[in-house]
Amino acid sequence: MFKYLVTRIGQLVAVLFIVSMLVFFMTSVVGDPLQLLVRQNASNEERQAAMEYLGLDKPLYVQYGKFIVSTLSGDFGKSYMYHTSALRLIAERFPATMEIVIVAMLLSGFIAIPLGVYAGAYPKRMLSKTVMTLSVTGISLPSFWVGMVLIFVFGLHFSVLPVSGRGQVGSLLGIQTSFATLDGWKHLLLPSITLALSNMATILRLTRAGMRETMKQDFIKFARAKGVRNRKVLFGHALKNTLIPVVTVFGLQLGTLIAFTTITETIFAWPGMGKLLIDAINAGDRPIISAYIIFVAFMFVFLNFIVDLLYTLIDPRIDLS
Amino acid sequence: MKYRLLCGVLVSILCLSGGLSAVAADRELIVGLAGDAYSLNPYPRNETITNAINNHIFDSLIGSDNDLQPIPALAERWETSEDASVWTFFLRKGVKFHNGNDFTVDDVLYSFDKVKIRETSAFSFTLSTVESYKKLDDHTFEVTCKAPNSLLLAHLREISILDKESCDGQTEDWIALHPNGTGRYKLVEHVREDRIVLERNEAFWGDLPEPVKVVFKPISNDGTRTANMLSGAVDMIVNVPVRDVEMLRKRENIAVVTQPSLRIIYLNMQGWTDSPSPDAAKPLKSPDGSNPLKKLEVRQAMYHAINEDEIVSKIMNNLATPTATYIPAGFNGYNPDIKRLPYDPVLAEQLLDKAGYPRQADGYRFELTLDSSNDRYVNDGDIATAVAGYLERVGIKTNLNLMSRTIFFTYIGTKNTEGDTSHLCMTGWADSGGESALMALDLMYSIRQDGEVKPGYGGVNRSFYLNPKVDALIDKAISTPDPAERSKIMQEVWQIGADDVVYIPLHFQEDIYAANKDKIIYRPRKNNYIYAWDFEFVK
Repeated sequence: MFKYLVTRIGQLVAVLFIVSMLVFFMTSVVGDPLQLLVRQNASNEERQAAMEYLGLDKPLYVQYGKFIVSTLSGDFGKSYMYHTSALRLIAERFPATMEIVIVAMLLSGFIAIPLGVYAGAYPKRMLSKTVMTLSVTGISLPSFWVGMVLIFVFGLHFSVLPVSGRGQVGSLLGIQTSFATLDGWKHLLLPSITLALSNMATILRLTRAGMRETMKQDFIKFARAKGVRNRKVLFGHALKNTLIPVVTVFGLQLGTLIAFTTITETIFAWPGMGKLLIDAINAGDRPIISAYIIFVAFMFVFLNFIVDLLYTLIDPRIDLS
Repeated sequence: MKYRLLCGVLVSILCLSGGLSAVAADRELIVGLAGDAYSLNPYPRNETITNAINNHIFDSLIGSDNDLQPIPALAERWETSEDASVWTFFLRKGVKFHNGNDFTVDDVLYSFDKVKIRETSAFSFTLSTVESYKKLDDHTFEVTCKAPNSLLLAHLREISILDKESCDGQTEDWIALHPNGTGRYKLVEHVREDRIVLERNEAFWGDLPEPVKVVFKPISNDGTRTANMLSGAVDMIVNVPVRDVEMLRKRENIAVVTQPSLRIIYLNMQGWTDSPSPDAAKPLKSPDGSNPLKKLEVRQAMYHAINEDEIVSKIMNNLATPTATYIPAGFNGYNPDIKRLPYDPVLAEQLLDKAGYPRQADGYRFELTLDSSNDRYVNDGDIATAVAGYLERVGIKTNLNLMSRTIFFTYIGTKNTEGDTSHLCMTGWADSGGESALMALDLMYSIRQDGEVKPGYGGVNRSFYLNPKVDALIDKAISTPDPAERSKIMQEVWQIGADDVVYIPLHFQEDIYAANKDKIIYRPRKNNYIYAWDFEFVK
């Protein structure tokens, strides 16, 4: 286990280093933040002052060195747009994003997996076929379109849910969150469903494929012959043996959702991290972009680590070292 | 049992929230903006939404009326020396900051000192013409300019006044999180990208605005903003997307308000140089190697060749106003006598022939490249494409070079040191100073390809227009304190500019707003600043 941890941390450092290089040099090539910050009719002195303030007058490798130093000290520099710490801006937005992601992942987990088990166990039933057809739509519909349709149907046509925004937040276990108020939940629902939709489809199809294969195995037949109850056969024996790829994908999906909720957040005016990223890209705000991507890389490595640990729980035969 | 209890709690929460909002909703205003304020520290960013929000919380010495002409604010009145170089301001007495501190001349001194620090202030330019300022007594303040400057007020009104007592010694971040001004509204809360809540400052020194509470919601996605308006979640939205205008107009309770903005879209032509910019891979090419843009007839011909009415009706959905000059009506120096050159492709061809650029064997007279952004102004890419088409029709081969704004402005900048500025480009300009002299010193004052003629002047004169007479007139206007006299001088400047065809003006974009007409009446500002005091409740 110890050896495993050491390799993992080594990997993390390598990944972060490569990502930081890529991010830094790519953002340096794309666009000139100065042009977006300084007035078009700014005098040369104004321009020079802004360059010096942002450190843009130094050669690229010096800028990168400064960037690494500030990153290591946990401070990603000041955002050009907001004139405040980039990391703090991301941290400020993190809870809002986590809220819709958690609900979306719960939806995927609790709806898609059981449905997948069902569709895999009884592929010929009408319900299974319907579910499979619907899942194709789930994958192929773009989220910006789904979002607008949901807004139109539930927000405008039936007027049962709010159109956009985060709504009221309340205090739950000392954290300010939408989970604490009814109004918060109402606002959460549509963006979460939008996020969940394509995920659900992927997880569902993956579970079903695994189930179909497992259901043909001898140990299932043996369990049935032994007289094990149907539910136990499906969820205890079959599902457990198909879960490894599902958990892997689930972990990756979770990461992707947290990192790139950009479109959904923009459509629902949800004050999360994704919107921050897109605004930063539009404005050429390098500190935010770099901090964000390094944060995301870190999160992915971490999630994969958790997934690995889950493997050992699901299947004790797997040995991490 | 448990279930029932839960229901009971939910119902009571619902009633409670319903009851609360019914009381406050009376004089409460919810506005859907296109973006959030970047910072509630008024200095580091100079941007429309940020400035407009900060103007609710902070006052300046000078305010502005709807034509952007100066009116008294924290300065009750002011006097100026004969040549407009020394200004004395008499500050309003008995004004208090939101936290109860008194407003005195020390706050002004502190704010002016702070605004000058280039590293943390985007407004340092406002004091670039000021030599010094000093306190005469607790409520009198004197500003001395480096040279006569009758446009000082237009700059001073951009300086929000901070409270020295609470801000001194604090970090920029702290100031941003604890905005404390003398303005009409106090900050209740700011949740980034979600809402800014303001409540009326009952101790405000002037007339109290009608809305008691204002909520600004940043909703950057166009469709979502419209949906919010339709659902009634907001009382008013800004920047209504053109495609939604018709749908909103059909609603009984929604009024769509349009108004020409200050943003003019125009073409710049490098007509005052023999070596027009190479413009990347597609340089300006004429049969005899000369710069055709130097000829007045060529510039006139290009003007005549463009069918602006068609651009407005086909591309802008009639939501733009054609213009003959860069100056919005109401600004000091607006010249109503300047008229657009009419659309006349036949005349255009004659002028081009006369200028010495007849059609060659391939049917073209000369070749140039039109640079334009495609994500900065309303339908900018489409407009540039249309313009290129019109020029082609009269025999000018036009290469189109469309770019994203993140590279466009570096590419065309007059201060682009690589010398890769554009010989023909389409840009927009908006100046909310209310003084056409301010626009002239940026757009018309001479600048050479190799550098400024007068430091700080001609910064966006992308035509490299050189005219000492115009420079002299602008200098004279700047040192003329009498507004009427100044206006006359500036009218002459704009007439010369129009006669020389320094730029080809196209149109003013229109700002489009939608408001719930059962509840409010909104009178938009020319500069697209949303102020709560421009709203009136119907009942």
